[in-house]
Amino acid sequence: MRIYCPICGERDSGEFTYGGDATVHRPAMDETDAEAWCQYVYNRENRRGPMLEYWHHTQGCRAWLVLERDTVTHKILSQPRLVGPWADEPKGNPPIDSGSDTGSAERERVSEPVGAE
Amino acid sequence: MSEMVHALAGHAQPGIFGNLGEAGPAVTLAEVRPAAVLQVGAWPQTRAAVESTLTSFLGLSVPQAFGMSSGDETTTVMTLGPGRYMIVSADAGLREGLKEQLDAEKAAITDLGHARTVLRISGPAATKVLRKGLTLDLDPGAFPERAVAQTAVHHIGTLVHRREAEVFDLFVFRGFALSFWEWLTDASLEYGYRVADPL
Amino acid sequence: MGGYRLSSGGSQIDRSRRVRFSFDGRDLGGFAGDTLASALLANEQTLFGRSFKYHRPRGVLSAGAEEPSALVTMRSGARVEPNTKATMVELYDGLEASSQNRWPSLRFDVLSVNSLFSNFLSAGFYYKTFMGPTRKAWMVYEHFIRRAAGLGAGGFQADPDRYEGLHAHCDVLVVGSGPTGLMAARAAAVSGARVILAEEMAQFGGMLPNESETLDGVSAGDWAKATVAELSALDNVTLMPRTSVYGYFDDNVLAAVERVADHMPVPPENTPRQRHWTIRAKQVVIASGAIERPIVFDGNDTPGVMLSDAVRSYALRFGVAAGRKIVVCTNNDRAYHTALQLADRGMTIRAVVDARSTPPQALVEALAARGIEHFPGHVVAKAEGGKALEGVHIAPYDPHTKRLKGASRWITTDALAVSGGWSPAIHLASHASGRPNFRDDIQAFVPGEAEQAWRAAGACNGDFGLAACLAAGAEAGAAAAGDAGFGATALPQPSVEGGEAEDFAVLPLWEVPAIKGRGKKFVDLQHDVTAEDVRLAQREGFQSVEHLKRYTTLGMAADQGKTSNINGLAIMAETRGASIPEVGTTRFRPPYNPVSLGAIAGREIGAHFRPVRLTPMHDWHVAQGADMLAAGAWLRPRVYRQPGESVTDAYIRETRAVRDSVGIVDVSTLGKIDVQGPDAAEFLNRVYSNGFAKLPVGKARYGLMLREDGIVYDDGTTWRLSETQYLMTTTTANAAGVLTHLEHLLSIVWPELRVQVSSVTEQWAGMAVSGPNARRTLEAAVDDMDLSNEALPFMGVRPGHLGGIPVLIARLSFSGELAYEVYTEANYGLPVWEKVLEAGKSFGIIAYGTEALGALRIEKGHVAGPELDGRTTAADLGLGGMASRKKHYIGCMMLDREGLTDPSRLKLVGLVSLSGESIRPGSQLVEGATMATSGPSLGHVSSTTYSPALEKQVALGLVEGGLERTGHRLYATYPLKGHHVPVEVVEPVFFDKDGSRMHV
Repeated sequence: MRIYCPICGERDSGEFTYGGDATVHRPAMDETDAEAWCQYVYNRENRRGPMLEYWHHTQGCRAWLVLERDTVTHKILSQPRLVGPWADEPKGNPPIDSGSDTGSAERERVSEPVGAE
Repeated sequence: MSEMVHALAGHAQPGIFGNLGEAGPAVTLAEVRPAAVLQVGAWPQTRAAVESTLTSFLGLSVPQAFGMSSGDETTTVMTLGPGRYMIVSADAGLREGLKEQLDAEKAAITDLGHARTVLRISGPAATKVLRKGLTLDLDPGAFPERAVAQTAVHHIGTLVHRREAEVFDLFVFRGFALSFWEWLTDASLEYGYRVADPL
Repeated sequence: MGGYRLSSGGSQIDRSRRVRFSFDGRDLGGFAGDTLASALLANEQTLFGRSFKYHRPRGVLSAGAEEPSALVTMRSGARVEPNTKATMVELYDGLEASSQNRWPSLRFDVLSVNSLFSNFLSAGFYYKTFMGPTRKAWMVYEHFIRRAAGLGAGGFQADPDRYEGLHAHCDVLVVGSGPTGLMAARAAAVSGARVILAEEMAQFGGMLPNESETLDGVSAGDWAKATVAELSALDNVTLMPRTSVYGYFDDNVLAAVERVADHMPVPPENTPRQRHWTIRAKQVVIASGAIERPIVFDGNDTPGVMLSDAVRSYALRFGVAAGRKIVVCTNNDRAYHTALQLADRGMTIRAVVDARSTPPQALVEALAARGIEHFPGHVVAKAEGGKALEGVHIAPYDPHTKRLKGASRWITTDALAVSGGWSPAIHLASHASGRPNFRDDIQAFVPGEAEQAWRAAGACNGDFGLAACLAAGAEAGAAAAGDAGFGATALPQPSVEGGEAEDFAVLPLWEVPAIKGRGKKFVDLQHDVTAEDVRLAQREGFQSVEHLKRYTTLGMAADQGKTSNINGLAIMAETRGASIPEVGTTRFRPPYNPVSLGAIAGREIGAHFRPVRLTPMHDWHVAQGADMLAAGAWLRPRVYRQPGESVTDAYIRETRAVRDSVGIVDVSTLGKIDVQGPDAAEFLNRVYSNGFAKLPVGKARYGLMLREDGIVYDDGTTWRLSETQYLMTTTTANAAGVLTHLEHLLSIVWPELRVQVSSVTEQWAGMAVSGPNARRTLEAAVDDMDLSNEALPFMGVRPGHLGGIPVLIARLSFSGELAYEVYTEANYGLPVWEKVLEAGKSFGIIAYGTEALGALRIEKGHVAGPELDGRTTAADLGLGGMASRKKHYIGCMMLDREGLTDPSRLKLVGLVSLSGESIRPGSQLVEGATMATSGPSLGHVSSTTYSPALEKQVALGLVEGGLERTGHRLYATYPLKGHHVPVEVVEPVFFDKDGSRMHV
């Protein structure tokens, strides 16, 4: 399986570690309902078909990604996206030959991920 | 400090080994010993300021694209991801200088100077050797000069920096250096390799 | 009778280069370019081996990778390789090969007697025959059956050759280099795409050398050579001959094996015998051709019965006639052209037997013109001959009733060229597609709907004509390049002159009725599966094609049913009264061809099976003769044995030396994580169960990390280096896991926290200096540090210099002694280590290893990995006080569950052996005084050691009721080794109970 990392480009799945069901959210720190915590810690839907998953690029940039993948065909159905503090940041521009890029505060939001074919 | 004992000390003996064609060894291997290897991490709110500080402090423009580098004879700056940079330099004073420029609110600076062993592989068969361990597409179109990639070679985390068409710097965890060296030299036997003195 | 070398011809051989080889010890000769099969045929060898079950004599059926019968053992000694297809072996000088599965010789095989018992050895016999008289009887039968079973024998010596794994990337991968593949490669290359052309055989061109057409005015074979030369000159094309693409995996990743040196006596130095390629292609063109089908009839396994295209190949490519009196039997036009080609090269064709009653008139006339007898509407009903074909019985055939309709007649022949049609080689496509589709016109399956980025073209897609293949290849190559992002340029087609009829229609003919009785009609030659076996499977209820395969083993041999699958399922369809598509094919799975384990392992063998991780002081440990122990990927010193010492002697000595004076141990393997940022204190407070928000700068604290379910995950110390920077240590084993855990929290759970974490395990060398003289030792070593109890109190952290080298010293104790952890940057690790040793000389300092490290901490009751086993809570370990009630942290919400607070939970205790016997870790704790009366398990032993301080065997364990059992006698039982040791339950600390030794 190949997984597209928004930072590193397409890589072999062996560089990644599965990170769990991405539809599950940790209850708020002040949540006192024991059921809610048990649900979070123990219960997962064993989905057949498309599933939203976290993947961790452990042998690469170590970013966390979220993607939709079919658990039967292994096909990745969505463009993997970063999760975390940088999730909404504009991506870097595709590599250019000259080395004279300067950072500009007004960067154009790039809709195509780096390295997309 | 001359007392430093590097990971490959006593192991990377200079010499020429393997299958030598008429043109001699097709691969040269050498350990690179930068005086500074620093990881700099910004936060989203501070990224622009950090990049601008690095640019002016290093006199190098920090690449916008992930997986690219810029550099001069002394220093290379790599953009590894959003707000994450690696600086490799022959200038030992860089660490202190950078700490003065970037306080804890702006960025996290992590010294990795002793945590990595850097190996330079060069020569006409450099790419052929790397194909034995790297799953990356090493075609110049896909991985051009100055490109940088974080990946793994046989489960050993490796940062690959392509300096020129057939010159690559490989950064591996110090603890895996000998294991990695043994793989690298074994893979180079087919093409003949020369071990040069550390740079 | 048998084959012979023609006096001229053979596009693949070089008659000026003679090659000597041996087969079954006989010295024989051939030419460069021969395969072992062609050379043996040329030497009149008819017998190549003995079949799997019945030990029937077998010859060679084909000229390629689909060969089921001619399996030989190559080479000898450490390089011996059994079950190699003689058709795929490139002849070289000095080649040694031998036949298999026969004793004492190929001609006189004692086990051919199995044939007499064939009724008892039919499909599934081991489920039916050999049952009883007792249940144990099978073990007796099995011994003999096992001796008789199998084909070749493997070797027992280590393989001396190299194998390597490599990675490749391309825009278009073309699999197969017949006319289709060559055109596809040209079309894709012309567009600028990066192209890899992989060809299974040593020569490119596929069937082109066999074809009589001219392309662009030159012979088909010469056109192939010129095209290959043109491709090899292009920078964007990589040619890979001798490379079999054996598997198609997810996301357009394919695997292939390149036979680099199998055609040489030994591989050249430093060169692999085989290379395993993992190819990531944007687009794939599958041009894998088609495999000819045999026909199933009585005696069809007789040596001398061959596929007709193979007979043509042997003549045209190798200059070898398969026999002196050849008969051709067919259900299609193409075999006629084979007959004509052979006749025109001087071979004797006795007859053409065609199941169709009205073949094309032009072909009939062509046969007549050459004096070749013609039998339309006839089939071969039986082949006879034992070790070599002597002749065939042919009979008139009614395709509507599928019966013989008349008397048979005998034709003397020594080579029967059989053509039952062609099966597209859809295997690779099927790894990446839905179910294959059946085409009635060619009576064959073609690839199903693509589930990956590939397209099939040419014969593997059901287009058998040469012109059609050339066009399909060009179109597929251009389209693939286009889909990969390269603009396609139209490629001019070569002009095709002459050649054969383009009609590849076949009369469906899978099986011929026997003349008398049921006959012996083989479907799968390699596994000795007959047509009767297929019918037996159906009678016994195994009628789905997947059951047919497993019950009869049809298609499960090394040839994977390449010449038998379709015939088998067609016979099943007939037996069931179903259509062929209704029966369907089994699922094709990789590998397409056998792949050696060496190719898969590559260089990850021996010491390089896994990477090895070394500390900065590793070479010193080894030079001192330490026993090195694997701890995950790390190597750690276990003990430093003196001459004459056992491991136990050594660790006891080392432990005593630490308690008596001072010792130094390498702790560089501990995980170390740099935690930085304005919110670092808050983050640590949420990650550890005990308080971290108020840890002062310059202090370290022991921290307990729980899992979300409340179970203890890891422990370590975290040092506050500044307002916003911490150094966290973890256990060696959990270093990677803890880093991932922290990254997960910062990316997914609390992305708003401004904290960054990085592994700095490798940045720091760490050494613990422990013992009553630890302070004095370090005072003698450091340059500028005040190490008094006031200046560096317990749990304090101070930077300084030691021998001119910057160090960070933390006053922490794992051993319970006065102790310091000295950290320095890794490249200074060894110099600092040596300076401390020098400074400690006058105190008799020794280096100690992990055994002594363990003994010391067990004596003090410090929990470690064996206690943090994923089942214990902080309270179970007596650390309940570390689970704060005043803040939110990972695991806090699950701690109060009934299951985790149940009083019957296992709790940490100390154990002292009452008999002086050592206690085995993992022993169960029971009340019964003997193993037989032990009673239920009340808990288990987690860590054990001899305690030099107590001079007793002691242990830590977890037991129901914990310290309520203090003073009780229990037994540590280990039934697997017969141990049952009486122990007393005590407090889990054996030495220095008030901990005062750490605080001096």
